[in-house]
Amino acid sequence: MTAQILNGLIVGSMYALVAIGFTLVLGVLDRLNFAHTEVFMFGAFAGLVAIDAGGIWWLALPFVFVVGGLFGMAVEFISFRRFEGDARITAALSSLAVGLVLIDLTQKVWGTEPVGMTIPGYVTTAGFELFGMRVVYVQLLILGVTLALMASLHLLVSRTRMGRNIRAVADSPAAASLLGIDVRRVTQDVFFVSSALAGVAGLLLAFRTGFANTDVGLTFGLKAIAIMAIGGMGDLRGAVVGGLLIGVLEALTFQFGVGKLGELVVWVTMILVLFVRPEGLFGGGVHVKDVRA
Amino acid sequence: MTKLNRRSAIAGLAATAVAATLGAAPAAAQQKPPIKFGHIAIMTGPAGAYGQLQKIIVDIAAEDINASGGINGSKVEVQTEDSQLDPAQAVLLFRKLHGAGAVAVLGPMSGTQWETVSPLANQMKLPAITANASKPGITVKPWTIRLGPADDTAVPQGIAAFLKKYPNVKNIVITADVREASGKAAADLYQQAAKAHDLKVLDVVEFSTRTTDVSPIALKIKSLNPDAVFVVALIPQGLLLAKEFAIQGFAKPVLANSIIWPGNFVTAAGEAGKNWHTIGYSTNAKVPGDNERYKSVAARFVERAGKTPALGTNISNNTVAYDIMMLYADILRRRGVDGSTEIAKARDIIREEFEKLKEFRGLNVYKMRDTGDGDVAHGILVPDVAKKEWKFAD
Repeated sequence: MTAQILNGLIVGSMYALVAIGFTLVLGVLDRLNFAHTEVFMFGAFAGLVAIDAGGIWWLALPFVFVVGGLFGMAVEFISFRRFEGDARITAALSSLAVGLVLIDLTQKVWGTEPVGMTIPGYVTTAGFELFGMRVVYVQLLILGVTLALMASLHLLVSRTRMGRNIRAVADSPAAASLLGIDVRRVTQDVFFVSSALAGVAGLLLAFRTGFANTDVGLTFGLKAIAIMAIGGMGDLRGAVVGGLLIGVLEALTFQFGVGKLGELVVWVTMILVLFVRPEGLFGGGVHVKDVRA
Repeated sequence: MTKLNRRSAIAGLAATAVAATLGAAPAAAQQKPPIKFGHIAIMTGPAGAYGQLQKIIVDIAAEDINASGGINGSKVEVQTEDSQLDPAQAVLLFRKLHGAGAVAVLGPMSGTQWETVSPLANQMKLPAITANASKPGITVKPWTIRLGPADDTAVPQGIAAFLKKYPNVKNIVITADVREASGKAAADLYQQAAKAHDLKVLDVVEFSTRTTDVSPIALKIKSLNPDAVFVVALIPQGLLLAKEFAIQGFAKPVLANSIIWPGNFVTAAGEAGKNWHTIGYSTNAKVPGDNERYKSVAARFVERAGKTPALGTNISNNTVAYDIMMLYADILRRRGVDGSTEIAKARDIIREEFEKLKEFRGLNVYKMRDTGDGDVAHGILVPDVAKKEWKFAD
């Protein structure tokens, strides 16, 4: 049981990393970026390119951070910049289309089957026993990178000038603009950061499994949307807690012999949480206003 | 000079005569309308590699048929359609191929798709043969047959071969993707076979095709400490499980049903797959039937599949698709059908021959059962990690 909980926390931290990206864009810009799931997927393949080209596996992390971020900026330009005001659904659909194109292009290059990723054995298989579970160093790496990115994001939003600008835009883009804040620049920054996190999360998942897989966006990534809703739309704390919660609950389904229902956990939890607390577990995000209204 | 001219003229006339004689058959073949076959395969999506590899060997089969004069002088054409992994799509495509004038269909591939298409084929009177669907009891006669063996013969034979290699296995865990029809059926067969062999089933750990994280499954199985694990999983989950077992230091033998035989499990699993076995009957080097022909087929398959590295060059049970094309060609040739034969009549002839079929010898040797399913003598295969190919376990 302890081993399953520990394992669930590690998986949940990756869910959280993807959900944070979703919730950041939604919380600040009130936009739902469906291409986010596929940036997550593409992170692993960008990592493959980096490892194949450079040979130093860990350099793939900063590389994917930058590639993911740049891709996020491209999505902002293609799918969101032209759709101001109330055209949220059109923009979301456009981002969905960008995501689907990205899947297809990735499959054209790497095929539809999982592609093996070459990571040194001392990272992927070496480790130690804890509560009957073999913890491998890559799991600690995932936990460490995830926590570091979450902490950095928290500091960025709460302690820096960019963070102040982001909060100002989240509160009111019009007021922020009147105060001299470059709203477009802030928008680009938010897309860069959220997509960079998604890309890194995708790479971390590939480190963990040993494979880059074009299917993960539609499975793993979609869960992140539900986790965002569970935690509270637009609430960073909610994304973290929701991710960890779902990771643990999924692991426990196998412990209690109902693993075939594991994929339902996230959706059932979302229904229950939203039924009881329509604003989500934390509910500090922008959509609390919608619920209260 | 005159002699030379005369010789040249005679030689020219002779050459023309020979060319005319040789050209007569192809010319006649070109004059006859082609015979169209439908091919429904999973070309895109999660299992897209299965269909892409099958298309390669279906194309090779069509080339071989056409190179040997076609079918009674008519060239063969194959119309391949992508059903993804969607039963509804398979139904739509089957209707489309019926309307397009296909005399018979190869496919669809998955158990869930075959379960819906096989009855439909009987309603529409369009013959179909599946190569891959493995769920037992879903082939509806007389208009459809399954040349590739179903799991109710493959799994017991595979388990018997596995236990011969590992006689000390007394207790097992079964883990299965129960979302796909073939997966649920195979899990039930594993349980029946385990009972037949007095194996104790410690637990059945079920999961879904969309499971993104298999580490809880590996942890659960490790905690049960079985002598062996019987697995039913598509390749992505199979690869993840192999990796997780390796991470958890779980090195007991694993027997997977034939779902992981085709595709890139054997090429991508690496060292993590060394304890894994699958149920099968051929390798890239050897088939149970016509090995002389297989050399040429295998060489072309490996060359073409090798152009897309992600597909791998594992031939596996794709040989069945080749044999299906050859079976259709054999039936139509024997019964004098060509492209000018009325389509409904040609289809009915194939149906008649389905009912008479007892055995077919192609790259593999198939004994037909009363269920309408073929049977091939199975063994177990293990990865040759260095060559990234399957090899016989014994």
